[in-house]
Amino acid sequence: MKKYSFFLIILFIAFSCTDKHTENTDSSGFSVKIGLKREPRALCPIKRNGNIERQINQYIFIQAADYDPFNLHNIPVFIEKIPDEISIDTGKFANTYKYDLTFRKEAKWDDGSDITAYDQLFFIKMILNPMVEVHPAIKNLYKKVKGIEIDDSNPKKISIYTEKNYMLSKELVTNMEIFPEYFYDPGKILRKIDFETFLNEEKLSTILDTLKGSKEFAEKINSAYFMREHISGQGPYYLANWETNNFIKLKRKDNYWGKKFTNIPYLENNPKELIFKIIADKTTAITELKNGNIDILQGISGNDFLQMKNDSVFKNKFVFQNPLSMQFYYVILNNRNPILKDKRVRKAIAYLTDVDFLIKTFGTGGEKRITSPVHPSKPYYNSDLNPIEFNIVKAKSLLKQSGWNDSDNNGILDKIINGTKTELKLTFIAKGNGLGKNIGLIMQENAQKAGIFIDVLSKNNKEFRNILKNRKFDMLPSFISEDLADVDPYWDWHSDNTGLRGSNISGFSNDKIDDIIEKIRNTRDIKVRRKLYTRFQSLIYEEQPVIFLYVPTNNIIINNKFRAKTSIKRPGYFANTFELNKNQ
Amino acid sequence: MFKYLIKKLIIIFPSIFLLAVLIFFLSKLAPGDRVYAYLELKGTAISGNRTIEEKDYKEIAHKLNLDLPLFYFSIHPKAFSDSLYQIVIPKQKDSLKSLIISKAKASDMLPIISFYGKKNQFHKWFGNILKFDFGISSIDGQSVIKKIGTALKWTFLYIILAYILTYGFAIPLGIFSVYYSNRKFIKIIELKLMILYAMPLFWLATLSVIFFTSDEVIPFLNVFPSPGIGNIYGNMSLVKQISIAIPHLILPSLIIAIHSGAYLAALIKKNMQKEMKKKYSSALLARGLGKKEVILKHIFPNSILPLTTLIIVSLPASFAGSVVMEVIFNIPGMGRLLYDSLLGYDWNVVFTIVLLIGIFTYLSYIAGDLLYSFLNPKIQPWK
Amino acid sequence: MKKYFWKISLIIFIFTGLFSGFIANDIPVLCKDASGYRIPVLEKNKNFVHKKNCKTLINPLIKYSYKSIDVKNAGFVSPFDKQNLSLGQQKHFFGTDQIGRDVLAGMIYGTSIALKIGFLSMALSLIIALIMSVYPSYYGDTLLRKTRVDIIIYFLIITTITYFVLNYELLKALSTIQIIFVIAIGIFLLIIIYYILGLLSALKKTISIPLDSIISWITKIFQSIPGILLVLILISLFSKPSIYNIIIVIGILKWPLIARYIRAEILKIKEERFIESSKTLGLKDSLIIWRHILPHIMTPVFIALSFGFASTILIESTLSFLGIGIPADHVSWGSILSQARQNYSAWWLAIFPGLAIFWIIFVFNEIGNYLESQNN
Repeated sequence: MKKYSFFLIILFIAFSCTDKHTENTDSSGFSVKIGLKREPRALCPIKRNGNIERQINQYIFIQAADYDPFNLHNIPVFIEKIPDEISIDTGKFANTYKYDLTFRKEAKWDDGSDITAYDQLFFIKMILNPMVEVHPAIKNLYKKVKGIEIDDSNPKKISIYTEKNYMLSKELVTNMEIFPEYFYDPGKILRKIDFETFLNEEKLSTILDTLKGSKEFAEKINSAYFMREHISGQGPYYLANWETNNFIKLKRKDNYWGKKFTNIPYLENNPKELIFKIIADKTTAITELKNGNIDILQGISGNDFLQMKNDSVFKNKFVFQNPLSMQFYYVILNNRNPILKDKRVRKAIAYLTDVDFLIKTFGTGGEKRITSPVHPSKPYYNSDLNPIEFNIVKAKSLLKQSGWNDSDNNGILDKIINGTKTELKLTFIAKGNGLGKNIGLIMQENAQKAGIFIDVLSKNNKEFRNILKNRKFDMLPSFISEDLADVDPYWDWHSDNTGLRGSNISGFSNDKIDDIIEKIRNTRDIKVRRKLYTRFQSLIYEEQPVIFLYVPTNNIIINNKFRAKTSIKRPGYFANTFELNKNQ
Repeated sequence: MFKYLIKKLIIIFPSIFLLAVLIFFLSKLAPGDRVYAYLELKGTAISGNRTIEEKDYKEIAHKLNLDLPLFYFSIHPKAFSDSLYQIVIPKQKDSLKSLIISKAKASDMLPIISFYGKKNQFHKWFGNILKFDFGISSIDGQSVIKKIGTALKWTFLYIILAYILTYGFAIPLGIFSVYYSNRKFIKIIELKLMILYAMPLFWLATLSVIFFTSDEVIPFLNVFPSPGIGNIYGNMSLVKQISIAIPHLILPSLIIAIHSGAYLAALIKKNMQKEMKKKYSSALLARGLGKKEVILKHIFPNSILPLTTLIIVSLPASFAGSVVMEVIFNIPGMGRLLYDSLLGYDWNVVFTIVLLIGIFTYLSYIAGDLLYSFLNPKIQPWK
Repeated sequence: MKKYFWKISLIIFIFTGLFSGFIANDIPVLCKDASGYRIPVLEKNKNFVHKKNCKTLINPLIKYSYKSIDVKNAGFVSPFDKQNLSLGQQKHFFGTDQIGRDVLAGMIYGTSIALKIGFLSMALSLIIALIMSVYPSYYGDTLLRKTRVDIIIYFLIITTITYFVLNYELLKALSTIQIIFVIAIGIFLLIIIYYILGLLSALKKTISIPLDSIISWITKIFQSIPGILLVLILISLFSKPSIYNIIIVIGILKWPLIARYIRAEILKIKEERFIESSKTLGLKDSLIIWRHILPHIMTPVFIALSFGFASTILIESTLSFLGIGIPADHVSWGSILSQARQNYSAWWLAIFPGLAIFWIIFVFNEIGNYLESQNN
């Protein structure tokens, strides 16, 4: 007996070492603790970055110019002003636009050296270097840079020439993060190659093969050394600790040069530390939020958000924000399937999708329905198009018009297509057991009432990606994220991109729409372009190539000891701008 | 006796080699294209939109040693040439194979043994393993050993804690329930334990997180620290890290202990009751020994003999951790690692874990056997 | 009293499970139309479109199926809340889940799932356990005697079959005559080897095959694989998640436990006199095993099966929680319970399945205990 009481005493002593409510508000500043549901893969702006990576990267790496999160204007961050666009028609860089950028004289790297044109030159060269592994979309964008000029006597200035036919060429040049050359290329390997060489892939490969040190440079850049361990940027925070699967700590840079620019949110660094805690389980994360062990959770499901909001114990301790997010949900219809090639079938499915029910069940009430692939926040959003209502009768009549009948009385419609009797059966592939699957199940129930059989299958991440890549699905729930700039619809909706390598995943192609897209891309006059966008939306609305659902809200819960503003810009909150609430 | 020991020890090396061969071939069956996984790791292949050039594919396949034969030798039908392994691009290989198959003749079924010498994938892999180089994870590029090492640290802690609590809880309970087997309160306790055992572990764990780590339901029950392992920095000494983590790991270990302890106590009770029925126990009682003494000094040691081997043998398997507990209690241990790696097709990590667990299980069986013979003078195979 | 309790529970459980389609469904049990009486519940139609034509005579007890979605009552409606019901619509006695499925209907359907998974996976485990443990424990390490030649030939036969199986596509591509020819050559070679080896007297010696040690070594290896690893690996081999995959996985997971009981019992029985006398009488081994031994070990086996049954339900609910290997529209006690984690205030999602799981485990544990006490 005695031995066991001894054990119990030890246990009690251990209990008392609880660490709840450890406040970090000593006089030197406060910290903000953020919950993340998984570890970032790497902290590097040139890789494939998701929501998680972005939430951390944005404090370490900032862009030369960016959209102010609160008033949504493109403002200069560490360049002095947004450059003018100068059209160059003759000479070495004929048929390009020229942009002159000047970096702020205060802008410095962590070692005290100035941010100069050489860093931007290095960054662009690094991206174009075929041996460096970069997100292909980024690489393709930077291929549009045709020339760079630097005046050695004034390294704070740089002139960049880009192709004329790219709609967002100015943003390409100004809204870019830059790497410090001294840190990522101490041997100045890339300086040894002229920028012109980078425009010629063959010449570049030959030179890189022979250049001493180029292989080592690329390998190091691609390795965990620069992806996880050694990271240096121009943002207001630096990476202090990365404890795998546990937490990541960013610390405020002392005497940060950006502090004097009080009207640029990206340069603020109010909290002395930002701690990102990795909490895989959602329930545990919410418990931690309630405990005060984390201060903010972003991307919570509508249900959890509303529950906390209505909870009498907790609703006064937190601030609940749900701005619209810069993405929208839709169900991709594989237009290559002969059944779905028929516009009437697609429209019937749209009539069978009760989007309002989806919003009511899974949302917070702030969601907005969409009718075409244009986000409601865009100035060219066509608000005249009415969302398709849930109407089983209309769906049935469309299907009947299209020749679908239940000839064998088994509850599923069928039709003779290319000589064989085909049943209206579609496979719906969901990722895991989340929102996508629930949407599938609801669509399945409703579609059944009109005689369409939807088979809902849930797959794990890897299989899902394979299925997406090989287009082996009929219906697939997905989302499109956008930035604040005008969007180029070419990639997602033009028939050029319907192949397995393209981003037009639905395989949709339509001549009239192709035409409009091409016109949009080549119109620089904003007013004209916006009229074209409106027409584009109406045409897509006519065709219903996919089932457009709604714009979800970005559900954020913040402990009300902070005063924080949220924004539509991803990720929705900017922890570096938080302030302590005085009336605590 | 030494001869027996040495015989057992010598067999270890070929056995482990065999195990490695088995695991190697198993890993080759695992789905997922290794080249694409490598590209994804480097952040290049994305959103399923990209197919890569042939020469790039071959280059990476060469880097990953995929253009070597699998093993030192292979037995294949005459139809397939012995250098088929050199074709790495799956589409090409498949179409070549179908071509050969369509032109097959009966004589092509003849088995041929081709020898490849040391230049094969298994040799390279095994050679690396002997140098403790298990490759890198295909999810985040960290070295496999580092990933496993960190995860193992935490799993080890709470598993050991759970073992101590389980046996510390089940053994006295088992003994008491035999000693007081007629009393009512034991029956009530057993019933309560059955309730706890009959609940799924994830549910028990979730409830305990809500009740005992937060103020949500009953504030004064908030006794345990938050789920997770606390604020641990890599540069802290191991002792400090452990001392911060232990309070956080008590609740999960307790939950595991209660859940499996109930079952274990019942098992112990059953074993002891069986022993009690044997003739020697009544003989001891007749001799005048007190019931307490008989139970503690004679019955109990006899009934736990099989248990000791059970403990040793189940130890390696439990290092795979408990996925459920680690997800709910947010412990970055082996269970989570295994689960994430399996679903993320990170085969380097998965099969390294399988190999390590396999080796340790094998060693623990030998240790268990030896211990059993040591403890039980009746069974000594060297006598 | 206790005895009746679990007997009645078992009957309720099996009855509900078998007839779940009749008890809770959104289509009628019996209806009459122009072609006579129809039982829609049994018809293969997924979509009972002729509802209006067929006059309903008998409705199921609960007028919801486990997957019908009641849009008006979606979003975790409590059994005690005022529910948004249209005229004549039945109340959701156990509330609804997030997308509006009736929990009571889900519980009833879950009974059939639990029943299916429990019985079928235990049956599978039993079969595998019998295959893996009956002969080894009967023969022990010494009783199975074969000549060395026989052993070599068995080994060669297995290798040849493996060779043919691995290169199955090549074999299939040959014309039928050629296939027969190849297989005939294979058999011919084996026969020749058999005779040649048979000439060497050294190989004619009979040795005993330590079958028991080999098989128990395999069993030990199997048992030492961590459960989660086995489950995840097996699940990833199946392309389409379905309930039969889960049954197979659990069956494969649990067979060592059953095998242990079988082996212990057979070892015990081996020492009984009547076995020895049967052997001296010259009865064939297989006869002794199947006619005499097996009937005696069934009782302890049922004990193991009862305990095993309880654990299959727990395993299935854990799989539902982790979301591994289950089909998208899967509804079971475990899946309802894991939904409760999304929303604690929806106590009805936790209490009812929790009670059901506990009740079943209790019943089967009691059955096991009862059988055990009978056995001793």
